[in-house]
Parts: sequence; C-alpha cells; structure tokens
Amino acid sequence: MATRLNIRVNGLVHRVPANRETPLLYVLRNELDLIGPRFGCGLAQCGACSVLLDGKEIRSCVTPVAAVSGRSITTLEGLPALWASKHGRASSAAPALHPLQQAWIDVGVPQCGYCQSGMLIQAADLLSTNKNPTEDEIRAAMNGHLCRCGTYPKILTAIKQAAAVMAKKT
Amino acid sequence: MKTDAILEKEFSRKVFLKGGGALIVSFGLARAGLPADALAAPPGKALPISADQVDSYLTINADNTVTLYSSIMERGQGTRTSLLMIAAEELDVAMEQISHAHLDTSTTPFTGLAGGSQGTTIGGSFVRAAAATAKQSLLGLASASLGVPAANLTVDKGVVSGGGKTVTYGELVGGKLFNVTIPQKVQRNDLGVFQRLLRPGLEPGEPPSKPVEQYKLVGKPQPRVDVPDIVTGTLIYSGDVRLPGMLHGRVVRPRGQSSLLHSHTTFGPYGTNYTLELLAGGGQKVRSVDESSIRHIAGARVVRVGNFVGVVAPNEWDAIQAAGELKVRWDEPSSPLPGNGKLEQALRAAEPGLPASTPIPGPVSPLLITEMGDVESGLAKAAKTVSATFRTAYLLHGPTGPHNAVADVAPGGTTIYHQCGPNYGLAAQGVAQAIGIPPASVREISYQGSSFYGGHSTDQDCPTAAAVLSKAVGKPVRVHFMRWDDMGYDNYDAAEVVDVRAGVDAHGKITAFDYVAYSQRDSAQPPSAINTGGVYLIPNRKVVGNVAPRMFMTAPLRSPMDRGPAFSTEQIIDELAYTTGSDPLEFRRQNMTGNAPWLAVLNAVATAANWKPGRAARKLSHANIVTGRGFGFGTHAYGGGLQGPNLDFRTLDPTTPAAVIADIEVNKKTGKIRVKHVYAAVAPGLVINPARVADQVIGTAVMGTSQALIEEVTFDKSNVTSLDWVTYPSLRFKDHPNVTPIVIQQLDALPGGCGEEPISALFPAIANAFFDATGVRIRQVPMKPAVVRDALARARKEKR
Repeated sequence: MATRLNIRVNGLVHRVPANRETPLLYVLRNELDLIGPRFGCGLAQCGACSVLLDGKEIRSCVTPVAAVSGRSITTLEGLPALWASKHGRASSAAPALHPLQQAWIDVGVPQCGYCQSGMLIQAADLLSTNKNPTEDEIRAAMNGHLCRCGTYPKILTAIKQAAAVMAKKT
Repeated sequence: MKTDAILEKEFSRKVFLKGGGALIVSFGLARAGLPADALAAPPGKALPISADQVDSYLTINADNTVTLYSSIMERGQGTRTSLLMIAAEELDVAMEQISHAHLDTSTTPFTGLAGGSQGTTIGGSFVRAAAATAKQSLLGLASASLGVPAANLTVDKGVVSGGGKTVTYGELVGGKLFNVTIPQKVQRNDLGVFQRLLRPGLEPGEPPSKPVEQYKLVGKPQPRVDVPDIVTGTLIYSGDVRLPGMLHGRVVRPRGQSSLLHSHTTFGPYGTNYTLELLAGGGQKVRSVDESSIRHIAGARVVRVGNFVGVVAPNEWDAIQAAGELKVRWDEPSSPLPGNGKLEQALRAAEPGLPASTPIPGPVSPLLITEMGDVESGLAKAAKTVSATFRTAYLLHGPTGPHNAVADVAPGGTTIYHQCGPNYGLAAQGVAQAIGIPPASVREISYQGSSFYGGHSTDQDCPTAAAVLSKAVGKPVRVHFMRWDDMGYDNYDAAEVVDVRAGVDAHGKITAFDYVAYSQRDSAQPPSAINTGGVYLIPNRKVVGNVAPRMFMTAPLRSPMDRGPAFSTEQIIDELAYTTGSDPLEFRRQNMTGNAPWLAVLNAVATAANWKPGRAARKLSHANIVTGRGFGFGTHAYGGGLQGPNLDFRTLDPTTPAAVIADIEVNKKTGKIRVKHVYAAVAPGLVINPARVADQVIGTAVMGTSQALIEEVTFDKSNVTSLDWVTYPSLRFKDHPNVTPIVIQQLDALPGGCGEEPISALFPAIANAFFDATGVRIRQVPMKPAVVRDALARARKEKR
C-alpha cells in the first residue's frame, strides 16, 4: 500500500510516495532523481547501491524505505556537503568535491564507473572511523564491493592518497 | 534522472536548413520525450551521414570549440578520450576545446566497430582522417583570410597565426559546413574490426595527417574526460534514462537458461533470432500463465507475445514484485544439459560438418588452423616429449550493472535508449526484427553503462525486451535486467578441452607441437594461430579445432578463444623447458629467434619482476603455504579467423603481445591460490594514451585472476545455476593482486588493440607459478580450491 514517508537525504527532508517495503534504492533513484546509487544485484552482494545511513554504509537495494525514516541518508551526491559539515562549514559553502572524489580523479580510478559510487561511499565510511588505514585494513573494509573492471589496485592507491589529504585538514 | 535534467546534459546536433546548405542551426533534438514529430522530422533536413564527408565526423563551433562524432562507445577503457586526443592532435586544439557528441544512430557516422579492442585503432583512423582533412581545409581558409601562404601558418589552440595576424577556427568556419571529402584509401569491409590491414582512414603520420614526431598530445598520458562526472554522480548512464509516461518492465522466464541444442528458431547473424528465443523462455515452452497471481499489485499488467512473457507496471518495485510473483508453468527443457561433471564428454562429442562460426559462413568442423611440416615425424625425432589435456570453463560477461534499456515504440518512430555494445547499430536491427518494422525506422541512442567486456552478451536482448513490451502497451517501457537475467541468459564464453603433444631435441629446440581443441564456437572464433605456438619457431606444428554441438549460445568475452590456447600451450612450453632443465624464459628465447616484439615484452617483464633464471620448482618445500613464480605469453588474435599453412610470427598479421609474470601463494591444505603480484607488459605499437593502456593492463590482470581462479558458469542437467555473485563468484577486493603494468611505447609502429592480451598470458603464468611452488601441474581452470586439492592429491598418489 503506497503511503507518504519523510526521509532525510543529503541534508534535506523529502516527502516521498512509497510502499513501506520498497527498497530505498528505488525511492532514491525514481522519486528523488539521485543517480549515484545504482542497481547491481538487488541481493546486497555487490555494493553498487551503497549509501550512508547515519554515516555507516548500507545496501539500499535491500533496505526497506520505512527502516530509514527519521535517520540521515547520504548518497554519492551528498559527499562534498558531508565533508564540509565535518569541518564546521555550512553545506552552502561545501567544496565541490570530497577528498575521496578528488583522489579518485587524481589517481584516475574509474573504468566503466558503475561500481564507483558504492566504492566511494564505503571508503568514506572507512575513513570516518580509521584515519590512516593499512593496506590490509582497506582490503578488508572494501571486500564487500565488487568491481568487474578490476579497479581494485587503483582504489587502494586513491584511498591512501585521500587519507593523507584528510589527515592534514583535521 | 528525469527528462528535464537529461535535457540540460544532452547534446545538440547540427541540423541544416533546407536549401541553405551552409548554415548550422543548433537544435536540442535529443530531449528524451520530445513530441515524436519533433524527433522524427526536425525543422529542415538532418545532416546526411556520409562516410566520406568531414562534416559527418566533426563540427567547428562559433566559439572555437570542436564537436566530434564517432560510433565508438565509451565502455570504461577511455576510448572516447583517446579519440578526442587524436582529433585534437590533428587539429591543434586543446583537450578543453573538444568534446564528443552523444552516440545516436540518427546523427553519428560509422567509425568502425569497437570489438576486438579496435575502437581506438579503427575508430582512430576514421577520426584522424576527418580531422587531418579538416585541418588542411582550415589552413586553406586561414591562408585566404590572412593573406599568408598556408605553409607559413602556425596553429595553437585553434588559433591560426601568420604574418603577424591571427584568426580562429571558429571565425573561419563556425556555423558553416566544410563540404570537404575525405580521401578514401580502401573500401570498408563489413567486418572492419577483423580487417586490421584495411583500416579505411589514416594511420598515424600518413599524409595529410601530422608527422608522429610532431605529436604534442598523442602518446602522453591524459586523464579521461568523463571521470569527474563519474565520481560526482553526474554522468548519465543508460540506467538513468526516464521518459514521461514510461512504464517499468521485467521479463518472466525460468531461472537460468536451458540447452538450446534443439531450439525452435534458426539462429541469425549474431543472434537476432536467438535473442528472442532467450527472452522467451530459452529452450522451454510456456504451458500456462496465471494472471490472477499478480492482481493484488496495482497497475501491474502481463504481456504475452508468443512464448514471451513479461510484466509492466508504473512503479519499478511493483514491476519487480509482479515478475517474481507471476505464476507461470514451463515445459521441461527440450533437451538436457550434461551437468558440470560431463562437460568434457559433451565437448568431445564434436561433430564433423558443424559450422565453426554462425555469422561467417565457411569453415566447418574440424578446422585445420595451421599445419607446418609433419608433427608425427617431429615427435619421433624428439629427445623428450610431453603431452597433456587441458580444460577451461564456460565464463559469463557479468557486468557490475545488468543491462538496461528504454524503448519507445511510437507511431512516429521507434527509439531505444541503452548502452550499445561494440557493434554499432546492431541493437536497432534486433529491435526492428523483433517487432516487425524496418531497421532504418529505429533510432538507437547510446549512453555509458556498466562495462560488459565483449560483444553480444545481453546488450541486444534488453532493448529488444523493452521494445516488445512497449509495442504491446503503447507506452515507453524501461527494462532493467535482474541479476539472474543477466547471468542466467548471457551468451557465454565457450569452454574448451585441449589435447597437446610436443617434443624437444637434445639442443633444446622444439621439434613438434600438436594441438587439438574441442569447443562449441558459434559466434566466437577458432583457436588463435598465435596463441597455439605461433610465437615460436617450430618446424612441425599442427593446430586443429573441433566444433562441439551447441549447448548455449556463445559470444566473445574479452580475449575470446585465447584462454584455452594460451593456458595449454604456455604450460606445455614450460614443461618442455623443465624436461630439458632450462630456465623457462631462456628456453623461450632460444625458440623464438628473430621475434622482436615478443622478445621485447618478455625481457621487459623479466626486468620489472627481477626474474632470477633457473629451472622451475627448484625450491620445493614441505610447508603448507608455499610460493611460486611463473611466466606466460598471450595475445588476442585480431585475425581470429585466420587459417592456413605455415602460420607463425613471420607470416601473421602483427598483434599486441603480452607477457606476464605471476607471483602466487598456495595453501596446500585448503587448496586456495592467492595471486600476490602480477607483472604484465604489453607492446601495442603506438600508444595513444599510455595511462589508459596501463589501466587496461591492471584491469585485465585483475579480471584474468578472477577468471583463472574462481569463475565458472555452472549448470545441472536442465538449467544454468550461475545466477548471482554467490553462485558465480568474482574476485573480491581482499584477494586482488598488486599489479605492475608495463606499457611499451613504439612511436614508429601502428597502434594496436590493448584491452585483452594480459588475460590469456596470465592463465598459464599462474599455472606455471603453481608448478614452481608445488612441482605439480594444474591443467584445469578455474584453479579453484577443489581443483587444486585434487591435483595435489593425484600427484601424491602417482608418487607412491
């Protein structure tokens, strides 16, 4: 039964029509036009759909929208503002890019790019709790995210690079 | 993304006022969902896409920017950036001044197919020819405008200088047509991708294109133009297209295809008919559909066309639910699958007379790929001989994001929005055939999407499904395949069984090499003459491919038909080296006298990895976890169909050689192999963008590791059982190797492909490293733990 739910995404509260059981992914993409999170498997196996829920990575393809009501969602599109807010800046003064996004550009990580939104979300989660992860810690933290193009080695490099930049700014 | 947002990001295509001839009107025609009449009949006459006209390929805009039109889709390899580099180099404009128009069959000329990693080479030759011809025309115009001879003009960033005066390209032709014909060297072959020597455009340095030594941009690392949009979530992928009034659709069929051995339709070129068949239950007939089973889902509707069953609904999740809950009864498959255990037996049941390849009529089984000398007498003369059987698995394409498409079948014309495969315009043909309209009436607009590493996986099936549904309901329909659709109904890369015999004389020279393969081939290619010993000087060599009865439709997957040949051949070469007590690299060098490009990659990778010469398996240990290092050669044979006598590196069309050294770790108890480091060298001739070729080396090293260690399409006696990332595992982050890519730049050589080669080289490199670590040969991929444990157990038994 379709109803209306309030969800908070990238700092804004939206009133969306949705069945309570509808996975969050379809609400983000089809109701809010947020195209960062993507459909990869619908089974929480690949991480293409990942978003942050109160700062922690979740799989939006298997998370009912009702379960996130009243909590804070961040998608790829919201990463720059999230980074700004962590540094006491209003989101209107947000930099264009989160340091992870900048590192992704500098290292030239993406190939087809389909998985990269989920990768960036997971990396943001990792660096929010572990400022200076080792290679093994990065490998373990990112293990739930699949990339068929084989960009893992460059993601590893980019996360280390972003961590170094972020450490300087905190 | 909704239509309005698309519009802002969209392209505009020049449209010429009728009779005016020279005035370009910018016209935002691509708004998804514009009234059909606006799309079908823009004011004035659309640009004729003529293969020999500069205007078909590029536009100089009044603001001194350039728009490039090419039919090569960006599929994650940076090809579109490379094409921009080629055009910018020839025109002497900066990368910031040039961009690519959207790929749209109504406005984009054919610039070759992107298959076989030929997007940059073939597509580049078209672009180079157009841009170089345009440059000449621009210099002529500038000369007249400035009153300075063309020879005395210089160009920087689209500004022409001479005699103390300047004029910009935009001032010269912005808003006007070139009306210049590109000289045609040779007629395009319909299978241009395989005709490497018949590139229709200009090769680097070929007049009037710029001499290679004057290159400022090409040959130096460039960032990809689309990466910032990817990491900010602003790049529009095919899956983001939404049209007004659009419904969401899903296909309903058994989970996992069954055998297509006795299928009810005839297979057409590259499968326009089997596309329909796979969409319509595969080998299983629909017996009954209970439409009442989804009555509780608001707005959901069943569509049946023959054996095709689908659902549509206004809401995507409702469509997914409806497809899952619709009760359909299917007949048993018309013919059984052998089950994984009997795969080898099924492949060895090859039948003489079966065609080797569906789209190209001609050779039938058995295929004699090459024959030199006499293998039996060569083996008789050998001091030592080795022989073995090798097995590879069916693999699937498995894009991270399943295929998706929007189709709008409307009275004014049919438009499909999706990610096109390497074969430009093929999906439009398939759609036309499926819904019974002329191919020319289908417009195909292509967006970036999840890469799928090959031709015809499900890239054609999805728009066809969307079009069948759209036609039935009279509205635009979007179909996003579910994970199980994409895996269970993919056209797989063919499994192979290979028997190899080889001999070596007392001086360490290979005397004979005999290669017999069994595989179903369909749209894939026969065994490569290069990957089956063609790298070496072998006086007696025979390569034969036997065609097995069809189990599935197969289609090329990145480095198609290279894995089995390289995995088997390069292990046999290593075995020969071992039997003669030689260092595997030195043994190869001795047997490939004069083969410069292959020696170059061998030496490059040996240097990078700091290879210590010596016989393999000289440091065996009783420890549970042991390490080893192995070498392998591989390529992708662009002359895939090449067959004939006396084929070795002296006679073959040059391809891109790859050499790989793999460092691995084996856990003997668990059977788990970890590939710790891959050193991979490629020499693709003139490298347009070295940074992106390095990306391809890294990507293929990771993908090759995944395929060699764990990937395998599984099936029981009725249906495919690989339906998700648990039943078809793919290498995870934790297990990826570190990769050292080595890209050899050869400014004086023709550009070659570079998206595949390390994959086939890596397969034997891992297997040879396994032998180095354990003293045991592993002759089956994937080298999953069970296969490893079995190989080690068998070796222990033989020892006793």
